[in-house]
Amino acid sequence: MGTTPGFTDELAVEAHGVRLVLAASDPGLLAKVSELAPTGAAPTSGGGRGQRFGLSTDDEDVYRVLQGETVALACRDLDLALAALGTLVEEHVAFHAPERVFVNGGAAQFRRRAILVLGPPLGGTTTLVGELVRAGASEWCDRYAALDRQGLVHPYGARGRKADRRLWDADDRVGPLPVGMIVTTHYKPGTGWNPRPCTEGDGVLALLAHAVAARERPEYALQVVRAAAAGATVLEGERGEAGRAAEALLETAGELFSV
Amino acid sequence: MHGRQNNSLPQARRNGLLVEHVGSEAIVYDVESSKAHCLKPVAAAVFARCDGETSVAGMSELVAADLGEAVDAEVIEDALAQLREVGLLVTSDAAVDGVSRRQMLRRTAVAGGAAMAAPLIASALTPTAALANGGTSVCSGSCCYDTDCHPAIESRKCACQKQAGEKEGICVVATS
Repeated sequence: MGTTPGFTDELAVEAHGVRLVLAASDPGLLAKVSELAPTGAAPTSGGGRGQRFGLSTDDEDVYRVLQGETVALACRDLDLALAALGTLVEEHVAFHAPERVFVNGGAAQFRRRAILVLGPPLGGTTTLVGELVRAGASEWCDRYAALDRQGLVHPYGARGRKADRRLWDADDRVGPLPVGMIVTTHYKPGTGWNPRPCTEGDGVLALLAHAVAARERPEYALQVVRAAAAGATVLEGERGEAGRAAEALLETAGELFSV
Repeated sequence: MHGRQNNSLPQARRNGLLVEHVGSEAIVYDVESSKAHCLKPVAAAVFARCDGETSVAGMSELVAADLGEAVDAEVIEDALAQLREVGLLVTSDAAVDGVSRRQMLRRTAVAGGAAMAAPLIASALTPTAALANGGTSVCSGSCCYDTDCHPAIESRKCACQKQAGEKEGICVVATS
C-alpha cells in the first residue's frame, strides 16, 4: 500500500502501563491524533519509546494510518482514518497493558457501580450502554472495560472519539468502580427483556470469554475477572428495544445498589 | 445398566488446567483448548472426586456429603459424561471409561426418566488476539458477513464486497 511516509511530529505517551508514540505528518494532524490517546494516558519521555501509531497525508489528500511500519489503511476520509487509528491504539493498549485485563464490552456508571454490558460483535452493546446513559447512568467505557488487579473498572475510551465527548469530563474525576452488574445480552428483534439470573461463576465465565489477552495471560485474567465478578449481579438474555431494557436494568440496579 | 461405569475410576486432568473455585462452582480454564468452563456445583464436586481412585459407584455418597444433599447416581454419570465431553477427564477409551452424554440422554429417555434439565457445565472460548506484533484489525482485506463489515470501525465506512453465494466478503474502504 505504498512506502512509509515521514512523520514530522510525535508525542510519546504511556497509557495503562503501555508506552506508545503517536505521530503525524504535520502539527494539525498531531493535535487530532493526540486526542485518540486513551483515558489515563500521560506524556512520557525517556527510553523505551514503544509502538508507533501514525497518521500522514500527502499531496493527493490520501490519509495513511500506520502501525509501526505497516500501512493499515489508506483513504481520503479523515474521520475514517482517525477512527481506524483510534481503534488500533485502543486495541494495542488493551492487549499489552501489564496490570489490566481488558474485557470487550461497554460499561456505564450508576450509583458508583459499574454495569458491564457484554455481547457478541454487532450485538448492540454500544446501543444498550447509550440507552443506559439516556436513562440516567453515566458512560464509563466503550468497547473495552479496563479491570485492575482488584477487579475494579477504570474508565476507558478516547476523548477524540465523537461517541465519548458527551459525558467524559464529568466522569474523569471519579475513581475506578466496583462491578455491580454483569449483563450478557444481544439484540433480537421482537423480544422483550426477561433476563435469566445467573451465578457468580457464570459472571466469571462471561468476563473470561470476553477478556482480551486471556489466552496469553490466563492465570492473571482468571484472577482479575474472579475479583471483578465477586458480589456482582449477573444477568443473561436476549433483548428487544434497548430503551426498555435499559430502564429495566436501572430499576434493578436501583434496588440492588445502595447509595 | 451401570455395571461397566461403576468399575471405572475417573481421573481428572491436571496438566494444562487452571482451576478457580467460585462458591460451590468451579471455573476451569483449559490452556490447551483455550476454553473456559463453569462447573455447576454437582459437576464441580464430581470433578473434585475424580482422583483415579474413586469408583463411580463410590462417588454418589461422597458427592452427596460434599454438597449436603442426596445426589442420584444418574446425575453423577451425567456429570462425568459432560466432564468427559469437554475434555476435563483423562480418558483413552470412552467405551471403557463410561458412556457419552448422548448415550446418557438416550438411555434416560428410553427409561422414561426425567430429561436432564440444565447442563451441568457451561463453556466458552476465550477470544483470539486482535493484534499480535503489528497485526491489525482494520480492514485487513477480509471480513464479514453481510453487514458485519468490520465492527472495529465505528463509522462503518468499510463496504463489504461479497460475491453471490460466498460466505465471506472483502472489506473495501473507499479512497475516492
